[in-house]
Amino acid sequence: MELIVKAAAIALIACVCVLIIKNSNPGGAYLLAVCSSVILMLGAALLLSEIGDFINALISRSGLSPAIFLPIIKCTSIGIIVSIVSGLCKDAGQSSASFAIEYLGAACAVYTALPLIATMLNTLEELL
Amino acid sequence: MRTFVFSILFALMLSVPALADEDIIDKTAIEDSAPAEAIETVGGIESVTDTQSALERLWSKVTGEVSDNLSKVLGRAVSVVAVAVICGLLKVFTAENAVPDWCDLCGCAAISILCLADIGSYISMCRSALEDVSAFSQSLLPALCTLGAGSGAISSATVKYAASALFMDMLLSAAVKLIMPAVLAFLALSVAASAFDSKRLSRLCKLLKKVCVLLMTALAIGFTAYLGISSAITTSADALALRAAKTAISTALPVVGGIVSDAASSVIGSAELLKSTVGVFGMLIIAAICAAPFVILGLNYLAYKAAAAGVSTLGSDRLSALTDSVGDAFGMLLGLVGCAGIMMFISIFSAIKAVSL
Repeated sequence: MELIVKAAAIALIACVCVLIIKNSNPGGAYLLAVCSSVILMLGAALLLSEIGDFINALISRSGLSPAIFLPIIKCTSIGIIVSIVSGLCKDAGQSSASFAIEYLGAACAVYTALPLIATMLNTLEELL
Repeated sequence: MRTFVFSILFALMLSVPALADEDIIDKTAIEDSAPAEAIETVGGIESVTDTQSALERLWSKVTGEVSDNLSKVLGRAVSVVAVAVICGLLKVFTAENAVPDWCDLCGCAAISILCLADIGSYISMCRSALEDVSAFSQSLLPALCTLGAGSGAISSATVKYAASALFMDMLLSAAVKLIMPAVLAFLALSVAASAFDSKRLSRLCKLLKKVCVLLMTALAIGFTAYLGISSAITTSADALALRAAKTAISTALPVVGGIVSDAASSVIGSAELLKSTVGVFGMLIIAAICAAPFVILGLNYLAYKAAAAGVSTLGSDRLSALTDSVGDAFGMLLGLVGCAGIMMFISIFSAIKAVSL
């Protein structure tokens, strides 16, 4: 609870500061936005590590190899990174860069999921 | 003096024991055609008189199978729910994302690997049970037919044997060539439908399932109807023929007609007793053959249905549908074993209960 209150306060303060210095120093304002995003993501990383431990425990409980879940965990990570970077690009007014990073993220996700699709097709082949 | 000597001679000739034929069926062949494990549980034909202990051994076998398999099956069901929880957690981070949502695909792959890795062994177990039932029926049914004819039900015994042999053969052929491949195809289509979220493949799965169930139902109903109708016709004819024969013997032979008729009734009664013994033995063996597959397939069916209900509460419709389909596949295999067992029970019971006197 404390973490989200602190994160909300940081985000609001960063937004106010960006609005104040945006006209006089657009570059500085953008850097401030990026820094505040990084700080908030570091806070999320603390929680994500605990969630990751829980997911690892569930994976070992399921008796399956972690290699099955690795592609989807990578895809999820790609999705998070792409969302944040895409938003920052849009904040900077660079919609083409935003689109490009989204496109690249989708391609990376498909590439990462290829072993999973291959496993699925092997399972179907064994059944038939 | 001559009369006295001839009387003594004839008395000596008539002192040869007149035994009824004890070996009208080959009991050893019937016992040999049953699986060794089933004989170990039930015992031989001679030990059928102690039905209670045979039933107790059968019950302990069933409870043994339950305790051996329950933890493994439940563990797998819990693993399926754990996979759904993992996918649900990861989905939270992929909501409203530019990147495609592969969580359900990952979940389907994981559930497929968990549940379908040893599906081949379950199908082999089901096939093995059907083959054992069929092999045993090929010894048992002719013996019951012979004993039925010996107890006076000549037409009905033949008709019942023909119907039972035909339908058992049809069931085994349909199971090996149609139903089991259809179950595998159903599973493959279910995996593909859930993984790639295809409504058309889902509809095809439902069609396959309906075809399998319809085929089994048609065989069971067809068999029961044919047996019932043919028994109704032939049993009355046999009873009438037997009564007519008894009356004819009694009236045709002076003095000894009644004695001969009563002696014939005793022999028929002995054949009936042997028929009941062999019939009870047959039912116990069929129960012993079908018990283990029934328990194992039933446990899997219930566990996957419960897991599907659990997964649906986590909000993943595709994973829930896949788990439910795996449960349905086990249900179809269970139905197949049950169908074979029930058909044999009906055949044996019908043969035992053939009215002859």
